[in-house]
Amino acid sequence: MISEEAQRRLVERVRDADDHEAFGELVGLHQGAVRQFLRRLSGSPSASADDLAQETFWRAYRNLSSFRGEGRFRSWLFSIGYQCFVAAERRRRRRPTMPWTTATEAKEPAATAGDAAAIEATQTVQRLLAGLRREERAAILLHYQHELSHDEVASSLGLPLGTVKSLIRRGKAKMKQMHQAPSAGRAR
Amino acid sequence: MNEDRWLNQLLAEDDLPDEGFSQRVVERLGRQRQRRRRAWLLLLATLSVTLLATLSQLPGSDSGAEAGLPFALWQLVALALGAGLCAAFWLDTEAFPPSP
Repeated sequence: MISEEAQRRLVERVRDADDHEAFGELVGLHQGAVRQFLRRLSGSPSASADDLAQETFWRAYRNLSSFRGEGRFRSWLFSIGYQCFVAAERRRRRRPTMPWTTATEAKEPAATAGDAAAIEATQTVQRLLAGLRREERAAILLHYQHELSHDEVASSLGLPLGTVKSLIRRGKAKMKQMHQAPSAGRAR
Repeated sequence: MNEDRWLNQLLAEDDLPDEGFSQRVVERLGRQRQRRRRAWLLLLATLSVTLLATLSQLPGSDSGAEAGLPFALWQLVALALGAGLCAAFWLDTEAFPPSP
């Protein structure tokens, strides 16, 4: 991972000279984290989550002038990704015939691992995440999986710091409870 | 599974291989840039045609005496149509390329 300063220089190249190569570098640096975040957040198969990720990068490109460089570029991307996910969820509610497929129902999660134990563990985590509210899931993922600070999570989700801390605390407690009573996690 | 194992599991999959994802995003930017160029050209063409038509209808020109309200309305319609087409090009209506 290159430094934040180097990433800011890439952002400037895109902003000032519409340099697509520089934007490609930024996408390459962050695509893994953004796609993983959206896969876990939506619990959807990789194709749907990757469409959301493409939309995330597209919106980032179009709104690059609003990136002030005060925080990390990655957490700015997460905030756009989260907005894309929320918008997609609203569309899904309007068209209930097109539900997310949960990762536990999908054929592909962790198939590359080739390890039954790893697949089972991944499915367990996904099932536990699926039992959380959207904000709790997002906060847990950003804080633990992507190592964002509480402040960064608050900024990415557009929520007050105190709310984020309580979402994380409550989310962790729910996951623990669901794990102890596995059937509760499936009832979503 | 204890709490630490959950967190480790979450952290374990922090990254995904690119698999051409970046390339697809960048290609889309290129296509969008072409669309925007076309939109600008269309806007310039619309403005030029409207300007020429206006000049040809000014008092003093041969057809100026016949110019009236209907012609001004037609100009407005043409301008609105041109602007609408430009907007259609400018706005991103392209579907996302399929993921592999």
